[in-house]
Amino acid sequence: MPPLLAARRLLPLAGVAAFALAALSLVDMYLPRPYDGVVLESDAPGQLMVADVVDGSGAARAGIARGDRIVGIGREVLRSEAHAADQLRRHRIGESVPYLVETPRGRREVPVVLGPRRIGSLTYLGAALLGFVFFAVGSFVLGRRQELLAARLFYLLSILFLVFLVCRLRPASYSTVDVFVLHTGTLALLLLPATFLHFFLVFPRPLWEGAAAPLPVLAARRVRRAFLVAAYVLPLLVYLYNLWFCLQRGTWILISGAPRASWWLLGVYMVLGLTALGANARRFPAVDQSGESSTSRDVVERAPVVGRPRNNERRGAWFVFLGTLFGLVPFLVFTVGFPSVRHTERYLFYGVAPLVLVPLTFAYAIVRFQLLDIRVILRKSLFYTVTTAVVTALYAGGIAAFNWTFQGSAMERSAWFPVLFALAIVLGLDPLRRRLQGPVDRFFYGELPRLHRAMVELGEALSADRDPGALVHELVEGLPRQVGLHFAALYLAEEGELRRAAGPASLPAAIADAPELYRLLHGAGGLAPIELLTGLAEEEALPLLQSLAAGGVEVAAELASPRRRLGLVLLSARANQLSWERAELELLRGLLAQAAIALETGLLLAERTRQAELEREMEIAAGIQASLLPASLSFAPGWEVAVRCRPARHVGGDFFCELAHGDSRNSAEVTADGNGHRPLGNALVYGDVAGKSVPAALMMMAAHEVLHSLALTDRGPEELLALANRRLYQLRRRSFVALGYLAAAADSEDKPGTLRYVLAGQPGLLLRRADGRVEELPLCRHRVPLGALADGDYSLAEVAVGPGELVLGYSDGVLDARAPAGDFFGAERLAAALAVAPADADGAVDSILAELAAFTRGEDPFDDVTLLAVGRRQEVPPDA
Amino acid sequence: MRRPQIVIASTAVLIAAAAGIAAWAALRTREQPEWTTHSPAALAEFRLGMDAYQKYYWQEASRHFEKAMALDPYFAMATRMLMRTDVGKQRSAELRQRLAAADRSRLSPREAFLVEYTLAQSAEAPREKLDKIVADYLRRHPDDPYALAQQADLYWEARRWNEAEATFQKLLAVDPNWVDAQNKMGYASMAQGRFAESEDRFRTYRYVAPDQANPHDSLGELFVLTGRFDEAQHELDTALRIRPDFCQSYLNLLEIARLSGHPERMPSIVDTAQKNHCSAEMVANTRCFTRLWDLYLARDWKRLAAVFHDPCIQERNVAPILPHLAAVLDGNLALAREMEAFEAKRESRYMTLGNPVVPHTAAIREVAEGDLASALRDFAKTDAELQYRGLGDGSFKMYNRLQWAHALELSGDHAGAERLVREVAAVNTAMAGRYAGLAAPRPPAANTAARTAASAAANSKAG
Repeated sequence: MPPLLAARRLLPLAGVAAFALAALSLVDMYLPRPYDGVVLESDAPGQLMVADVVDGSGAARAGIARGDRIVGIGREVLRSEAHAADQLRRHRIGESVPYLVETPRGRREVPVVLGPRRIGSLTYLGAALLGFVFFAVGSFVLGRRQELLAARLFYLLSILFLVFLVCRLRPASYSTVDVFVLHTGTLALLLLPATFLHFFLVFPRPLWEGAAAPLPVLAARRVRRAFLVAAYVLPLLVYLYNLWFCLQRGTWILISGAPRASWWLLGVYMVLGLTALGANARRFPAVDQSGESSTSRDVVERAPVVGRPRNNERRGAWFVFLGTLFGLVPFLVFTVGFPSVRHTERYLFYGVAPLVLVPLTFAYAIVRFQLLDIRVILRKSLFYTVTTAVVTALYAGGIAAFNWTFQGSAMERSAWFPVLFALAIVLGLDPLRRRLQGPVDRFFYGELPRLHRAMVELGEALSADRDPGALVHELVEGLPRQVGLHFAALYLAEEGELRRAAGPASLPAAIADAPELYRLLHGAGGLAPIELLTGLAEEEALPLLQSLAAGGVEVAAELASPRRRLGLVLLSARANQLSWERAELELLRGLLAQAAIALETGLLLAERTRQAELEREMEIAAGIQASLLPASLSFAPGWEVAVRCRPARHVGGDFFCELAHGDSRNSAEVTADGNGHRPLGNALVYGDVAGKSVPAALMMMAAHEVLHSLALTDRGPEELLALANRRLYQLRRRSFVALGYLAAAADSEDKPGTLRYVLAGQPGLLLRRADGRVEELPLCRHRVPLGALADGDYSLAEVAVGPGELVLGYSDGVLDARAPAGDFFGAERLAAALAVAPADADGAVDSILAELAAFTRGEDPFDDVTLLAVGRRQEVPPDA
Repeated sequence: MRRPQIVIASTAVLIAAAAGIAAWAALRTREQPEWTTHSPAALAEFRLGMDAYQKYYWQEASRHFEKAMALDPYFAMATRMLMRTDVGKQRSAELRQRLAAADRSRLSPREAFLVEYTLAQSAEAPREKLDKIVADYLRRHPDDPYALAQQADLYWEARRWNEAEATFQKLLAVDPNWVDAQNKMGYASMAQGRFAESEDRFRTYRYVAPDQANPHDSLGELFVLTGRFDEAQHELDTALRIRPDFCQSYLNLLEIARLSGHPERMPSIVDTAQKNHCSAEMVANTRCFTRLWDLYLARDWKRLAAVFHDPCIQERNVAPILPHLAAVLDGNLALAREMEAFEAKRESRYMTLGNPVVPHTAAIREVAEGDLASALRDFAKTDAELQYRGLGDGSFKMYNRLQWAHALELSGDHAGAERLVREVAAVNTAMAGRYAGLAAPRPPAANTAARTAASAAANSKAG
């Protein structure tokens, strides 16, 4: 909305102009130029009627009094104020100038000694100071809440009040500056009621919004605009028409610079404005601490205007209503009514003076009830300045009293007197100052130290406690108690959402993790009022923020340690109804950072404890797992075997074992395999369970037991593996076991030293020939791992192994072992290692493991590593 | 447009309008164009002459205007102003010719108007023509102070007092420092008995021009008329200190001496006036007056009545009021009638349309003749003719009222007489105090019937 933006830019400029005008007007009053001390009646332009005479001035000494008329200055009969100013400029300060004055006893000529311009009375200066203070408050409000129409109108009000108080109430003299300033003040006064009316139409909330809107007719934008334009323009038109009428008749009947009709119109405006404010105040709920009587939409609508849609709004509005009422009724009676009806302006002062109540009550309501969310200026500047002024005045009074007491005495003439005197005053005053300053500081600044102390205590409690549960309790229960909140709530981040760890049940149990909320909070330094976040939020986070506001949440803070984001802390409004100040929010931010670190530490400690327990359990499991692996192997006569298994964790997924074929000790009873071959000795299996750690270990144990159980049923290797596959598939469908099965076949004449094998998912076997060549044995036809599919079909392959030859089986952990540079160990390195390995099985396995360790530079293996070597001895035992 | 913009724009427009009005007013109050001359020195002399003229220092003004004309022979306004000072008929005719030859196209509208008016006035044009010239110009320039002053003077000379006063009022609204207007407004107020307002006017006049003798003299004259002799003495002394040749003040001092009961001071006042170059005519007149007053105080009615045949009355412009009274009191009614016939042929010395001396002297005689009804009628006529328009008129009016009150007493209307004396006392207590020993005629003792009739008539008229 470019026009609105333009207006927002223009408004501060108008304020700057008004401030400059007011300041220059004040400066002009004290410029060193000749002045007689006469204050003119501002409502009798051109008549030079004396409204007042400055005490001690030349005019006062010459006997000029209120009600007289200045007829001539410097031997010239005056035509106008400008003529008088021109006459005065021709003279110097200290010069005696003849005046012709019309008094009730006739015209008389008096000499007036001109003095420096010293026109401002204390009353006027007080009014001017009030105007500047009000303007400062208005500027502060605009700076804080420029986006609000109410804030902008309040600023405009403060501008108009400044101009009215400084310019319209200015004790006027002869200069054209006086005339200009007075007329500007009159214009401000004419605009003031329309601005009042406009302000009361939207403050604390627009009268045309909401279900019970008192003025729904203004909801239409066009109607509203037309109404407001008329409201602003009408007084000016009436004023101009009256002035024109006065000029035509040649008579000026003015009241405080404006014609009588203008005043009556302005009175009507005031009444309308008060009615609007009263209607506005009446529709607020009397008690709404929980916010239940308001819809969330209502709350959001009101929040930007007043900050807190509760009792404050109602009380603040009533306060402003009463202040305006008591300020305006005397004004209308004494300043408008009496001059109009009784034709006397004797009581003007009693009408103007109470008008001061209006800005005062506005300022108080804003500060006390935070209607526009400020209180800093008055608390930190004005009150403190006043207190300092009181102390200074006491100091000055002390000096004066001391001087007066010893005046004319011999002591006063002593050179030591000033020193002792100053010392005595300081010694006497300093305790007094301390006594005064203490209560003042406690009264005006007490909340911050109290909060600081509460924060320190809470911080200590948080630091001392290592239990996360106690920490949460301290944060959610202790914080409201210490800093006076209705409640606090803690949401912890768990599995992609925020879960309420503690806090009132009226808040949602869980809220979806909102990245935008975190972004907003991060941008605000980790902590911000909900109201502010609502103003900044886009579509994503808006519903969440609205629901939180509806739940009475006023401040949201991110709870995060340097490592991670822990969750969210939500704080309600304060029980004392005061809003958070920046310093307080900074303290709170620090405290929450401290709490986050403490909570993080607690959580880590708990985690470490759990981990230690787990590790201990893992060690036990590893022991159990290790106990399952056979300590020695008796593969088959004439064969030697060596197996090494290195799990990647404490417990691993790789395993090996021997499976007895019936009574392995009685080879004749051993069931023949599918090909009718009889096994020799025990079968050797080595497995690799998919996955690692505990799940893999459990699967490994299951596979181990299944294989052993089935081995006891004297089934052939193909059937045994098929049954084992089905069983493992039933156990856990998402896991499987890669298995290698080796068995030595009984020697026959045509096939001596045959090794039969099944590879269900395991890598291919390597065979080192007697001449040192290494060749990869062909893979089996079916090699699906056990448990991967419901039905498995496994077939045996065989290879003839000569004396001194060695077959190497291994898990994929061997091939996947990585060097620090990232290279895999791979099949080629394995084959090369096997080629140069010692001839015996043990030596070969150890040699390859050493090579593997050298390759990985001693790093823990990425996966479980299993190496298995089976070889035929050189000499066949005589009993074979 | 958004609302805050409307407010700001309205404020800006109003401030701009206020600034515009102020600028317009400032431009309007600028000084009128200067007088047309190519010579700055002539202009300076002319201004000095105007200043002296405003102060009624005719000779001084005349010198400055002469110098201005010498510096710029075509300076029309200097020529015109010189004509207005007392320069003699021949010189005036010469100046008129020069003025008529002036190139009016070079002059400002105001100067052209003043030239036209002055030429018409010097040609003794009918008053209607003068009125028309002024009215025409004022229609175009209604606030021109020179034209307003001219118009007010026309009314003043025509004794249209109300119109003159209104025009002076308007002139003072335009230029409150126009001292002649202040002075004449003071006299206008004085004429109608508004002495406080008159005093304010004269005080304002004195305030603006304290270095002039005339405002002090005017104020002094008012004080003499109202019996505030000490203040009058102070003001008149001040006037004479400023300008010892300000001869009008000597006349006022003579009045103080006469009314305050110090006739012994009168000769020395006249001597001083003579020493300070007051005109011989004026000195002779005042000596006549002093002599008449001495005889009046001595109650030497025969000698006082005989003065009528002296040059004092026959040749000087001195009214025969006291000789006529003396003749009546001496019982020489024939001489009194002769004096009345003589006075009836003379013009009024007073600011009146008719000659008030004529009904007054007739009334005095009628009292002595016992014709009180006629006497009361003539006293009333005299009173209606006279106003307090200056000390001479005012004194005569009060004196006439005292004689009128005496006549009312004779007619039995004591209340009417008392009221008249009270009215005189309200203006001048000292004058009213003279009623007790007033030298007044008495009717023949046997004329009782006439007294009764006169009483009835007085009741109906004096009221």
